Amino acid sequence: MTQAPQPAIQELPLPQVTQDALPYWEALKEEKLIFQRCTSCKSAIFPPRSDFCPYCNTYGQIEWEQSTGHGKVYSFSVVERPPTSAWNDRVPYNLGFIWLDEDWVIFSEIRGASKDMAIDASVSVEYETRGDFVLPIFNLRT
Amino acid sequence: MKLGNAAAIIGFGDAYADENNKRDPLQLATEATAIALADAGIEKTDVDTLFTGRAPWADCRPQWNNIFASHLQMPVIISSEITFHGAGVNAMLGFAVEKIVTGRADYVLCVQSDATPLFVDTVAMGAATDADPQFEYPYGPTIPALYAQWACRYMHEFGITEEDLAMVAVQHQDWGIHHPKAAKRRFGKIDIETVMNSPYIASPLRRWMCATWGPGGTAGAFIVASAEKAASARAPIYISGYGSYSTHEYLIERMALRNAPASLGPLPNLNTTGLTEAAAQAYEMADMRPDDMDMVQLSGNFAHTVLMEMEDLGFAKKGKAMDLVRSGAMEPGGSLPVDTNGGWLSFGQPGISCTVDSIVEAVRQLRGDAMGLAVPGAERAIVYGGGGMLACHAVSILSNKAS
Repeated sequence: MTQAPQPAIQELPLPQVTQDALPYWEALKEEKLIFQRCTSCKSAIFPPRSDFCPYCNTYGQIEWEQSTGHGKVYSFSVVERPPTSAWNDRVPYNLGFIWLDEDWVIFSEIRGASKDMAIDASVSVEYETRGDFVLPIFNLRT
Repeated sequence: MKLGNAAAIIGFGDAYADENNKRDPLQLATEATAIALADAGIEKTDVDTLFTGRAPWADCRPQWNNIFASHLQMPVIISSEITFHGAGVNAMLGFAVEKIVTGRADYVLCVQSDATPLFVDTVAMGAATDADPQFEYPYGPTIPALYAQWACRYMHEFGITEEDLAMVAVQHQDWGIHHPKAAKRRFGKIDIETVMNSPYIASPLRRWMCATWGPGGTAGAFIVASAEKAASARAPIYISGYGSYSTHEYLIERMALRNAPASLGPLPNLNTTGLTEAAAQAYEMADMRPDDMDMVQLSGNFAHTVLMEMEDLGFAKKGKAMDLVRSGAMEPGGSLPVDTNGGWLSFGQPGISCTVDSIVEAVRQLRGDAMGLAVPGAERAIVYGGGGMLACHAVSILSNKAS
């Protein structure tokens, strides 16, 4: 019987990049957090996607825009049992959805004391280098 | 075209594995199928259509449906995996009905098995499978940490406490301790303090608020045939209604969802699921209402999803399912038995076969053949198969009466 593929546990995972998101990852290398906006319906769009706006179904009207990196915690969880041993020395860490000021949502780590974590807490972006990537992470603003 | 009660499960079989009886998904599915064929009084060569859910986690080979059919040397008109996570396992029954009603099949075999805890690093694999590999997985989520996002919002918006979630777990254990195959049976009866003293896995979820990966392995096989054929079957279970809905794959896409039926509530939210739509389809087809159900089998992999699912199935208004829990209705002896094998919380989740366990439990109860606590006189059960990060939803309404 074939065993299921087992994820490598020695290292923290790198993102598996889609072609639509290449500009996002390139901008992060310059410590810029960008997202997409449809110039037709004005909706913020994330995760990044091809030129077809998922909200107004217009084709060819999507542009990239830089975020202030400021937002609020929408939901969160303090992770006590990590997925692999690679995370052991980071436990506990906070993960959650962040509602950015430009009306889009990102999933990320939220750095700050677990006791200070709360829905609607203000956060701002910072950056963590991992391999050839730069990941956006967020800090609780006190 | 009338679909409600047009077809029935005319034979079923189940099979189990554990550490002392280590068996893989092919072995388990084969045993369950052999029992189902004998129960239906048909031969393997009578089966003309095969549906499985997605490949078992413990045997991820693509086209597992064909691997299984070949294992039995059972050529069929069509063999297919019905996959939208665990919901596909429940949706197989609906696809079977449609094959039969349209005359494309006489006997449909629906089968699923898994034995994840016996063969796979479940914690690592779960996160790698169900988190977005680009925008979620690099941050180190587990499945509980993703489901916890729903719990965080649900508890915040409706004033639900950890003690409330603990009560849900306690009631599931009260069922589970009576089922010989339940993974958590060995822990015996628990109380709210037991749950509250268990460590956080991913806040607000403590260990006892999470389904366990177990029992070791399970399988269920169902032979679906027409109502005419069912009339001469020993104990047919009619498929009175079914429905399904799917809203997303990764949770980050669920947060980006804006266009959806009104039953999902104002978007974005993490408090209501596409189960509302799936349930409405099933009730309409069956011409039944929530009040008509004698029991409920959920996909309650975490304590808060039990509450959300009871609401989305129509048994309580949004945010009010905890009142139903407190009333004792869902407990053994209550007026609305829920998760009578202990559910995913106490019976456990052996992998993708967790939904088949819920169907097996409903079929056994409706045939008067419960392995654990019986619900005397039950005629109708609603079974919910949920999958992914509350992404995919399939509902079946089963009845031991032809009309």
